[in-house]
Order: sequence, then C-alpha cells, then structure tokens
Amino acid sequence: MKFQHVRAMARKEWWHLLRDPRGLAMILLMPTMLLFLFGYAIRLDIVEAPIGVLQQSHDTVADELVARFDNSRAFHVVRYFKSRREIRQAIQRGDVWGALVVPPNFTRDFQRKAASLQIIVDGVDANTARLVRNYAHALVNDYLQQQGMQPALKIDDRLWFNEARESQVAIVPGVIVIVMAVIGALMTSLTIAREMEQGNLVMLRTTPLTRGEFLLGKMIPYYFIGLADLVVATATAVYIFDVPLRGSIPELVLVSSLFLLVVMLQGSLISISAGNQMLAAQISMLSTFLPAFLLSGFIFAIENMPVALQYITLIVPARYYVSLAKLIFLKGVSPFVLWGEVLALFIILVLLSGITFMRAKKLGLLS
Amino acid sequence: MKSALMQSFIRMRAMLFKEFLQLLRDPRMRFFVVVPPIIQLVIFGYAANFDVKNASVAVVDQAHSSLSRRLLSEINSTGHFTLHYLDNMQQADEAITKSTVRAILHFPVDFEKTRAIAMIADGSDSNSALLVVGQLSQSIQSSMLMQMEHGLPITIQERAWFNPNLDDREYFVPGIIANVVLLATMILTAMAVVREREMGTLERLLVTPLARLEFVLGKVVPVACVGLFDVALVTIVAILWFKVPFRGDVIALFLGTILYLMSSLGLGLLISSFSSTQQQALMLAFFLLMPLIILSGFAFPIRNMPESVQLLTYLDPIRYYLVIIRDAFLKGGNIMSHSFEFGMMGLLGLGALSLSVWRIR
Repeated sequence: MKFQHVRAMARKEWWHLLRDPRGLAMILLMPTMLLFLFGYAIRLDIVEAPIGVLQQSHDTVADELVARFDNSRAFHVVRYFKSRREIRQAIQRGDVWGALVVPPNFTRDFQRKAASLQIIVDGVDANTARLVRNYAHALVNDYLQQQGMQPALKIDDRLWFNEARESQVAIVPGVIVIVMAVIGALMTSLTIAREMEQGNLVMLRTTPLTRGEFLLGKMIPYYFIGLADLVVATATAVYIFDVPLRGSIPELVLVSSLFLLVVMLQGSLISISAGNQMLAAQISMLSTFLPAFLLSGFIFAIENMPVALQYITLIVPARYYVSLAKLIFLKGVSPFVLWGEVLALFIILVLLSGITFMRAKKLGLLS
Repeated sequence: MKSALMQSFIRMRAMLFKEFLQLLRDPRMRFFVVVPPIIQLVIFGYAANFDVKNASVAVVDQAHSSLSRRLLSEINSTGHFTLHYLDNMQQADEAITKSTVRAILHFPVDFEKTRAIAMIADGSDSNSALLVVGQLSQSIQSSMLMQMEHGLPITIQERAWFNPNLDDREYFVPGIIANVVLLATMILTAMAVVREREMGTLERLLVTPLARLEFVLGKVVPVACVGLFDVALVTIVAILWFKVPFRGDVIALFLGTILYLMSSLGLGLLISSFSSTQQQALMLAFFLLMPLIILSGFAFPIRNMPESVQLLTYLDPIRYYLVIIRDAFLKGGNIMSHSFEFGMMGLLGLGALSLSVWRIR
C-alpha cells in the first residue's frame, strides 16, 4: 500500500465533497438539528396533562382530591363531565388524556375506609398512560399521608447523572450515534457504489491503485467529516443545551474513531455487495440507520426487548457506542470501565475488514 | 388522427412500462420491496417498547429491620423488578455506573426511626428512569399500605381504554407501518429521478414529446403501487403476527394511504429537484425524514411538545396518517370524524406534487 496512492484518492474524494457546499453544510448542521429536535421538541415527562373529572359527589374529600389533581404539576383539569358517555367521547377525540371518577358518597365511604376512586386513561399511548397512572397514584398517596391515613414513609428519589430530569441530557450520545451512522455508512456506501455504477472502477483498473488504497482513500475524508460532526455535536450540546461533558475528550475521540471506522467499513461492504446506489441506500438505511435509531438502546431500552432480539443487538455496533458515550458524557468515567464493549467494537472492526477485503477480492474489485 | 388524450395515454403507458421495468428488473430490488418492510415491522415491533419490565434494582438494606424486609419481599413478589442485594453504597454506585442496575434502593441504618428511603435512578436513560421511579414508589407505597391493620381508605381502580393491558406494541405497530412506507417510497422516488439526472438520461427524456406531468406521473405511479403493496403486506403481517386488532374501516385506511403517498412521493420528487447526485438526494431525504418522524407523534406525543413546535407539526403528513392508521387499527372511529386529517394530507400532497412538477425541468 503506497501512501501517495491513498492521498491521491482521498484528495479526489475531498474535491468531490467540496464541490457541493450545500451538502457539506447539511452534514455539519445535522447534529445541531437533531439535538434541537430531541432536546427541545420532545418531552418524556408529563406536565399539565389535560384530564377530565366526573364528580358524582361534591363533599369535602372529593373536592379536596379534585383540587389536588388540578393544582399538581402533572395534571390540569380541563373538563367536568356529567356522564360516562362524555368521558368516552372526550378520550376518543383526544381532548383529555385520562379521567378521574369520584363516585357518590365519597366522604362517607372514605371515613369507613371503603372509598374507591376510578382512574381511566387513554391506553392507546401506553407510555403516557403509565405516567398518568403513576402520577395519579402518587397524588392520592400524598393526600392520604397528609390526612394521617397512612403510615408515613418518605421516599427521597433522585436521578443520578441527570439531576434536572431533562431529556436532552440523556439524548446526546444517541444523537452522535445517529449522525455518525449516517455519515459513515450512508455516505461511504453511496460514494463507492457510484464509482461502480458509472464504471469508473474499470477505468481505475488501468492505474496501479489497489483495492486497499482505493477503500482507504475513499474513507479518509468521511472520517474527518465524522470527527467534525463530533465536535459540532459536542459543542452544541455543551454550550447551547448545557449538557455536561464529564469525561475526557481524548477518550471520546478514541472511542468515536473506533465506531466511525466500523460504520465506514460497513458502508464499504454494503456498496461493494450492492453495486448500485439505489440498492446501497436501501441496505444501509435498513442495516445501519434504523438499528442505530431503534436497537442501540438510545430510545428503547435493550433489556426490555425479547431475548432473541437482545442477541441480535449484539452485532449492532451502535449499541456499544451508545453505552460508551453515555459513560464519557454523563457518568464521567473512563470508557474502559466497560472494556467488554470496547473489545466488542474492536472485534467487529477486525471481522468487518476481513469480510470486506474478501468480498472485494471475490468480486474482482481492482487488484 | 388520434386524440391528444389518447396520445398522452400511449406516452404514459410507455413511460410507466419503462419505470416498472427499471424498478423491478433487479431481483435484489424485488426482494427489497417485499422483505425489508416485513423485517422492519417485526424487529421494530419487538424493539419499540417503553415499558420497564423486570428492571434490575440494587438494594442496600442497612436497616435490616423487619419492616424493610417485609417491604422488599412485597416488592419482589410484584414481579416487576429483579432485586440485587448489595452490601454497601459503593458497590451500588459501581453497579449503576456500569448500567448493570437501573436504580438503587437504600434503606439507611436509622430507617425504622426516620421512615425515609433513598431511591436513586440512572438518569442517563431518562424515560426508563422516570418509569422506574414511578413504579418503584408506587410498589413501596402500596406494600406499606399492606402492612396497615385496618384496610385502605381509598382503593384506586384503573382502567386503560382501547388498550387495557397498556401494551406498547399496539400503539407502535401502526406507527411503524407509517414510517416504513414513508422511508421506502420517499427515498425510492427521490433516487429514481436523480439517477436519471446523474446518468444524463433525464435530459434525453425531456426532449421527447413526453410532457412534464406525464414524466412525473410515470415516475410516481410505480412507486405508489409499491407503497400501497407494502402497506397491505405490512398490515397483514401486523394482524397475523402481532395480533394487533383491526377495528376500523379498510376503505378509510386505503384512502388515507393514497393521500399519504401523495405527500411522500411529492416530497421525494422535491428532494430530487434539489439534488444533482444520489448521495445529495439521500442526505436531503435524511435531513427531512428525521424531523418528520420525530415531530409526527410516532414515539413522542405531540401534545407534550412546546407550543411553537406543535404548530410545526401541522406541516407533517405523518402526523395525520398516524391518526388515521391508529384509528383503523385501535379505535375504530368513524371515517367522517377525520375529514380534517384527510383534507390536510390531500393539501400537503397536492402542494408538494405541484411544487415538484413546477421545479423539475
């Protein structure tokens, strides 16, 4: 492998990228856009959720409980129903997320310790429904404690690594993973497939360029773009969204480089096997972006998946990167605490490069 | 002399023939129309799950009192948590750092006297943390109530309508269908047009008598057929495999899908009109897809977003399609009650399509 050849290839690819400044700007803006979307647009907790009340008794305890729901941070009473029929309609239309039914003679039953309260939630969105239910239970428990109706038990709950309970803090590693998967796999796979589609590879055969030099030269510019995106993402996260970076920067760069190399090799393998851009794009979307989004543990916890799927996640490199990046960003410890994850990324890297070169050889890609 | 309409029909037929051939000629491409949507649905149908089941919780019980033990055995018997008993907080700290546990429950030495428990959750995963905190506190409080001699003053009855078991899958599967179809059709359209441009065949096509509208229709119709086919396929898999109920109207879903595909194909064409290489087109598609998916309410409810962002979601076609497809599966409401959604999808679709016809030259 000659350094000169690799440099020539990398330079050519670099020019190809620079010729399209709009595309380049888009790539560099992507982490900021994703951080904005995940950090600002979505909220996982519920705040002032609209609920309705069907109050069939207007005595002290009933009134106090309803007022407690209305004054809480989690709920806001927007409707007072007259019948159960109205509840169904309101939930079906999405006017309220849930309803509280206070049956007749509530205070009397309460004093006899036989009162019952009904909480109806819109189960369609199960996650929100669970949060509504949990907050409703907590409110009733609070009320009981204040009335001295329950043995006092104080639970002091804290969220470590994210004390302010803000979702953007937990989302940064995931955003970086998505951006890198897109740049690494999608861009690399398309640029190589393009050369194959347009028959440039046949032309390159007449040059002394070898397949190793070709692939390396193709990957180098995208590697640097990936690192630039890491810088943009980290800077936006730290300076705009006040996300802490508690670990060390060299370790972040090291782990990110490892992950970038893995996804770029994945992209190369896809493009060599696909041979045209349309197919390469579909395969990379399916095998890199979607797993990075859904199987990496970034949004949906891996432990909750069925066991068979948990085994599949073992070959998703994004999974390892998300846990490592979380360690560095939020927990502030060295990524080598989870040496198993680092090793796994490394093994995937070695295997992938072996497979890629074998495929390239078999398909007769250059010499 | 044939009428102008007839001639247009003949030209369109030729264009459509060429497009169908080009799209489905490659056996791998045929494979890609059928298999990945099913794989996506099955894998992501299992993966998309916010509920926390069997969450690992570290327990540091320094009180060793009968109450703390009774509470812990109650919590254990709920089956929602896997308890790991550790000797001190240092071990617990290490466990939460390595993510082997999601939360720590700490009963201090003076627990009997103060009746105070510390609960610490791993905030680096905020949704699970919120749920774990909520469910753990609820379990502890109700276990505490069990210890009381004279019954509970208030029993809470819970009812989850439309989805009594609070199963995430029923909510996510229709959403996954919407995303899978958008992903496939938008990228396919965008790249199909840009490929012609990249290879220089677009210019050649535009000098033929083929009108611009005919060209666009020729590009769009095959992909629309693929999209409709995929929706039908994935819907059947969802019903047979995931046993998601289908309570609504097939016609409403069909109508909604056609309107939805108009937006998706229109956006694909618009992307193609802004790009000269397929790589650009894919980046642009991706740049559009992320906000479209996240703002659609697919995984994160719209009503929980800041108001300015909520306004933005009105421009998102997935938002409307989700209402229709979720209704078709879960709620079984009336078609007419969603005329707003149908109207908005039609409007967005027509807007995107006409803009792209005007831009492609």
